[in-house]
Amino acid sequence: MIALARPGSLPWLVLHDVRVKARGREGRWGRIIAMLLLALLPIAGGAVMAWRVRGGADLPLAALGSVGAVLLGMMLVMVSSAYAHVLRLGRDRGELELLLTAPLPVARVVAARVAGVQAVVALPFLLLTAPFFLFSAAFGHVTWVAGPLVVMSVALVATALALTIATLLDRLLGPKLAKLVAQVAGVGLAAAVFALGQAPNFAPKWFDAQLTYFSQRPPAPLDWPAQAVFGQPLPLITVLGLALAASQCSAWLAASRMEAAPADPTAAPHVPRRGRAVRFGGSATAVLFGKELKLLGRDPELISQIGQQLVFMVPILALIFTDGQVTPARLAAAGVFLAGALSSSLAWLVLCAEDAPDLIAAAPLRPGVAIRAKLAAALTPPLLMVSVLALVVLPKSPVAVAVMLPMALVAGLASAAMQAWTQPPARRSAFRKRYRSSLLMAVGEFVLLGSLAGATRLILTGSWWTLAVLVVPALMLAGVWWFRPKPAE
Amino acid sequence: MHALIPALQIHGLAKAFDGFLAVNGLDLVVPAGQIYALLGPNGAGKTTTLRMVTGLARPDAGDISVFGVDALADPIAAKRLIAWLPDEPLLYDKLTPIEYLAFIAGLWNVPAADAEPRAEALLKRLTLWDKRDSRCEGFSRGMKQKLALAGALIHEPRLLILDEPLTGLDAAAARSVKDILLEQVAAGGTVILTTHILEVAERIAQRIGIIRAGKLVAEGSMAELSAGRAEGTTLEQLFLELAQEDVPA
Repeated sequence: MIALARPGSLPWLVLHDVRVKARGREGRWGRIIAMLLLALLPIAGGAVMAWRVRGGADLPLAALGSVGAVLLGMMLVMVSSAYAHVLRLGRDRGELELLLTAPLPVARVVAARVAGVQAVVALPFLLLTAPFFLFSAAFGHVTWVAGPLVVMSVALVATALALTIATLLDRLLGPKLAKLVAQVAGVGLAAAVFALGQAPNFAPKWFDAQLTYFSQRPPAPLDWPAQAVFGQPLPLITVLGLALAASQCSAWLAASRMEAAPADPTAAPHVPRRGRAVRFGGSATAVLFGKELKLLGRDPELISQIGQQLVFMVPILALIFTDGQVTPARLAAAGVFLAGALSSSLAWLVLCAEDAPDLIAAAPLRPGVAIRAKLAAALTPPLLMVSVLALVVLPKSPVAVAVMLPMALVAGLASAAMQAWTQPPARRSAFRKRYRSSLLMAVGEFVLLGSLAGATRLILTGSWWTLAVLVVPALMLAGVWWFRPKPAE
Repeated sequence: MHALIPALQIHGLAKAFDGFLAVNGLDLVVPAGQIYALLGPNGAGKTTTLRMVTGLARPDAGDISVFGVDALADPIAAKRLIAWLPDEPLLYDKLTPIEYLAFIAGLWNVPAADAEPRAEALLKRLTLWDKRDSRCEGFSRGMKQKLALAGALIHEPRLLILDEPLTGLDAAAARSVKDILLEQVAAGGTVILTTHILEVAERIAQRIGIIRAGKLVAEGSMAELSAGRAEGTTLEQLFLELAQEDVPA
């Protein structure tokens, strides 16, 4: 496809970006087929919805409030998504340097990068909404064909906003602190969106009240974006004009960002702090344990990603284990699950994402020393977390604590073993992507921890079913161990 | 008697990857107390050989002995004598130089009383003392390479193995590394290095081995290698000549 575009042109540069990104991924065809199958859902859904609203008014006044609220929500998610991409803009410079030294206008190179971000931000929403608007146009609401244009316009504005926020934060806080703030804010935003998604389960009355409030039609011109969706000329021209201005603003901000060449902020010189003197003379186990904890503690990006995963799990656990009632047995089960999940993340980091595996392998260590020290480092934070929960449960049920603590250790060891036996060596930066290549592994871990948590609850209720439930993790671990990839050397 | 034991003795070493024979029955003896340069074109099997010596790869066949210690039968004892410095420094970005050296000293079980002053001396010698409390993530390639060298020397290895040690170093840093290697040998140590900079090998190595297609095709001092050739033959000329010859089966 790239051969069809004129070399050096904007489409050629954009297609080049797409090709480079697509080639790094494993299972490309599987992913494409999955995406096509997923795309069928909005196509079918869009057709049904468009059929149901056919023959109505071209401008459904009663729906303007809801449409406006959806656009606002869409914008928030798009800003969050654009921000993640904007942070990398100008920092993944290896290939960018090549493009910038080529005899091409810098503005075009910048525009290609920005177009890439805008497309990535808009694409999921276009896939979801475009079928409805296009089918509606086919069924008689011709002006609704403006819908996808408005969605794209929202993406352009969201990208400009993300670039503005990134630039402001960089200037106010410096690139390193700005990145940290962005990551923490990203975790908070994602958790908030997720919690909001769970609101109908936890607080149905509050959710209904909010729905009613946001469904009301806002005063003009605040309802113009919604009107633009239905193809009203003046609002549509205004929205498109705003989008073009935002796009121009994005190009300008992106150019200044790339010009400033903020290389990876984590590579910025670390300001030394003279604190405790470094201790020499520790044993191999002690230095390995200390090293792992230091590396984990000094990586705010990883901590925020791990925290994000745990935040996502809390509502699910609450739904599964509390069932509207918080009892010591259910808390113990949730504690076991959380400890296992946290151990899994940390075990992956210390066992699979070792920065200098050859250094450890070349050291004169007895077999098992390194792995035991690393396991201890991976299990310490989860066990400390469970200990805090144990303090809460202890006054109500010492028995629950007595069962939870060893079961948490078992869950930690089991999930760490799964990681050690299945996951290939990787860089720490691949933490978030580690399950993308293996859905089976993600599901397997969920079943493993779920059965251990379930067993915890059953032990506390004195059920003989405990034994049956414990067979599941035992069989899973045995299977994983049997089929684990054997080392090449 | 002790000096007669070679620092490294390899016999019949072989290693294949997916049917490709990277090391093909290699025999090699490196005398103690010398700098030995192992040269060869890309893919000749240099790094694979050295990785097997350091215990990072398991040979398919052959024997490796480090100062008389059978490295395959007793790898821990052999590893105690060796330091390995690959072309990509083995560092942790989030550790400071002093923490890194304390970590390495712990792995090699160096007592604190020895490790601490040694770390200070090495960091001062390699002009990293002022950066001892800064994390490595902001270091240049040269600084990282120097710190990795300090890490390799903190446990005073009897056999220092370096793979392309001068890659990415500026002239001053390269000079400093070469001086340290010479000092290491003067203090009784042995150094094996691979390099593509033939002038370096010619200038500092007492013995040179040329490896091609996993086999040793020439070995000796510079004088021995150029014997029978025109006067003034350089190592580069020798290397290019040997690199084009057929490898004996």
